[in-house]
Amino acid sequence: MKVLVIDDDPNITEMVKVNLELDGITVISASNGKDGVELAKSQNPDLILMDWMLPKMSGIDAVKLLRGDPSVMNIPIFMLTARSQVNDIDMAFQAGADNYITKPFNPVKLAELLQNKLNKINR
Amino acid sequence: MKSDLSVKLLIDNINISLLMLDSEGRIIQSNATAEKLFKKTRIQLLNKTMHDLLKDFEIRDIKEWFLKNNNKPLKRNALIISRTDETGVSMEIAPIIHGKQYNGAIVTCINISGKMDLIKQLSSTQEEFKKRTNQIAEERDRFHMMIESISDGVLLLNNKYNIILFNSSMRKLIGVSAKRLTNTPLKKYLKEVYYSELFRKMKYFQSETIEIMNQEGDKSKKIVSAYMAPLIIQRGEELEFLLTIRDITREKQLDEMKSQFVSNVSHELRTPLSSIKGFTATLLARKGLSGEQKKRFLTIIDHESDRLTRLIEDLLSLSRIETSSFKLQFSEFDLKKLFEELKHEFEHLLKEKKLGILINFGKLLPKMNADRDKIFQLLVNLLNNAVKFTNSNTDIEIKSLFRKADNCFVITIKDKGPGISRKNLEKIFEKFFRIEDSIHTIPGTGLGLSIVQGIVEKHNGRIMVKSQPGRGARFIVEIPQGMIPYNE
Ligand SMILES: Nc1ncnc2c1ncn2[C@@H]1O[C@H](COP(=O)(O)OP(=O)(O)OP(=O)(O)O)[C@@H](O)[C@H]1O
Ligand SMILES: [Mg+2]
Repeated sequence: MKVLVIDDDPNITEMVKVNLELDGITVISASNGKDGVELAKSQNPDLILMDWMLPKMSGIDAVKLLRGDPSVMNIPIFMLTARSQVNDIDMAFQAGADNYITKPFNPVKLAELLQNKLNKINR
Repeated sequence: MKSDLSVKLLIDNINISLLMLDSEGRIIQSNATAEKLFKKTRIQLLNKTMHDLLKDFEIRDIKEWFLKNNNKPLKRNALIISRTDETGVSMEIAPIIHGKQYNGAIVTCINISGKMDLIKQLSSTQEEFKKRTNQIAEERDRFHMMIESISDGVLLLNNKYNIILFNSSMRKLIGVSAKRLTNTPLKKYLKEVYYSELFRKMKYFQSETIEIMNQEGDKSKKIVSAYMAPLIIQRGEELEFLLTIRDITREKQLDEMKSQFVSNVSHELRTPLSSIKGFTATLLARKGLSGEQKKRFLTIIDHESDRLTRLIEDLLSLSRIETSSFKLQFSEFDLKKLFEELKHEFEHLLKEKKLGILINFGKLLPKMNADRDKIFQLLVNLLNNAVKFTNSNTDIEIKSLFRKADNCFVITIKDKGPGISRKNLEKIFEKFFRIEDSIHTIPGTGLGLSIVQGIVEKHNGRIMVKSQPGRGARFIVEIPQGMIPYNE
C-alpha cells in the first residue's frame, strides 16, 4: 500500500511519513503541486494526501488535473489543509476531492483512517 | 348726409375716446370724448403724434413704445396709463392694415379714473404674485442646490422608469454625461437582477446592495447601497420613483480585506500548530520511537512554539500600529547610539553567518526626533531580512544622512543577497507575503515589512526598495524630522 503526500511543509510530510510507515504504509512525497501530479502519474499510489497552498500549482488545481486524467482519475484524494472555510470545503469537493481534513490534525488517527480506507479498497 | 351726421353725433357722444392716426402716426380724427380726456381742442389735437399727446402721462413705457415704433404701431396693444391728476386711462391701439400696407391706427381710450383704486389693488396683487413667484423660484433653486450637493446619488424616474432627474453625484457614479442620461431607461445602466430586486425590495421599504459599472473613464465597478421609493405627486396621478444610491465600494473593499486578513491569520496560526499537535500526538501514542527521533520531534515542537509566539507578537505590534488612535512617543535621540545598539543586538547572528556590517554616517547628523523604540524595531526588521536572506561572507551596509532640503533622515540598508524580482517587489509589503523560494528554508511570518511600513507611515515617511534578482536589495527609508516639542 502506497500513499502520496503532497505538502510544502517538511514537518507535515515527516510526521505523516513516520506515522503511516509505523502502520506499514509506504509513503512517497512531493513538495509542490506540479511534482505531485507527475509523481501520482508515475507511481500510481493507492491514495493521495493533498495540501492546498502549494508552490507552482495549488492543491485544487492539482486535484482537477488528476481528475481529468483517466490513468489516475480513480485514486482517492484527501485534502489536508489549514484552509477551513465552508466554501473552501465546497470548492474542494467540487474539484473532485474525496475527503477534507483540516490542520491541525492527529497523524496517529490519520494513519488509522487511511488503514481502514485502504483495506476497503483492496478487498 | 343725415346718416353722416348721426354717425358723427354717435361718435362724439360715445363714452369712449377715439383717435385716428394716419400712416405717419399723426392724429387726423378725434371725437369729443377724446378732446375732453386730453383737455385739448380738436384743432390742437390735429397732426399731433401720440408721443406728444402722452407727454404728461405717467407711464413712460407707452410713450417710448410709440417712439420706438416711430408712432406707427404695427401690432395691437392694450395698456393702462395714468396722469398725474389721477386720470386713469385704458388705451387700446389697433393698427389699420390693408394687404401689407400700413394705413394708420385707431386708438381707443376709456377713462377709468373712477376705477383706479381697483386697478391699484390689482397691481398690488400682481406685485404680490411676482413676489411669490420669486419666492418659489428661490426655493426651487435652493432645493436644486441641496440635491446637487448631496454626496449620495439621487435620481427620479417617471412611471415608465425613464430617468427624468438626477444630481451630479449620480451622474459621476454612473459615469455618463447629463445629456445622455436624461430620458433614458434606468434599465440601460443596471443588470436585470438588480433592477427587479430594487422594485421587490421597495415594497418592504428595504435597500439593496447592487453593482453599477461606471460607463466612462476607469470603467470601475461600483458597489452601491440603493434605496427606491415610490412618490405620489398628486392624488390620482401616476407614480414616480426616487432612487437614492450610496457608494459603498470602499467599505466593501475594507470588509473583504478584513475577512481575507482573518482567514490568512487563521491559516498562519494553524501551520505551526499543526506541527506542534502532530508531533505531540505522535510522541504520546507511538511506542517504538528511537531516542533520536523523540529528541528531533521535541526540537520541532520547540521551534514551532517559538514561531507561534513570534507570529502573535508580530500580529499584535502590527495591529497596534495600525489602529488610528495609536500615537508615536516622540523623543530626541542620537541615531549613532541607536546603531550601536543594533549592531550589538545582531553581533551573534552576524558572526554565525560570517557577515560583516559597515555603518556610515553623513557629516553633521543632528539628533533625531522620532519614536525611538519604533525606529529601532524598523531597523531590526530590515537588518533581520538582510541577514536572513543573505549567504555568508558578504557585507551589509547601513548608511544614514540628514537631508537639509526637506528635513529628512535617509537610512539605507543594503545587502548582497538573492535580490527580489520585479513581480515580488510589489508584494513584499503585503501582510504574510513571503517569496516562495525561501518559504521553508528561512523562518519568518511575512509581517516584518508590513510592520516597517506601518512605522514609516506613522512618521509620515517613505520607504523604497531597489533590487534585482541576484544583485542584492537596497531598502531606503526616509523619516522627516519630527517637530520639537511634540508631546501633548
Ligand atoms: N533583503 C531581502 N532580500 C531578499 N528578499 C527579501 C528581503 N527582505 C524581504 N524579502 C522578501 O520579502 C518577504 C517579506 O518580508 P518580511 O520581512 O515581511 O517577512 P519575513 O522576513 O518573511 O518574516 P518576518 O519578518 O515577519 O519574520 C520575505 O519573506 C522575503 O521573501
Ligand atoms: Mg522579515
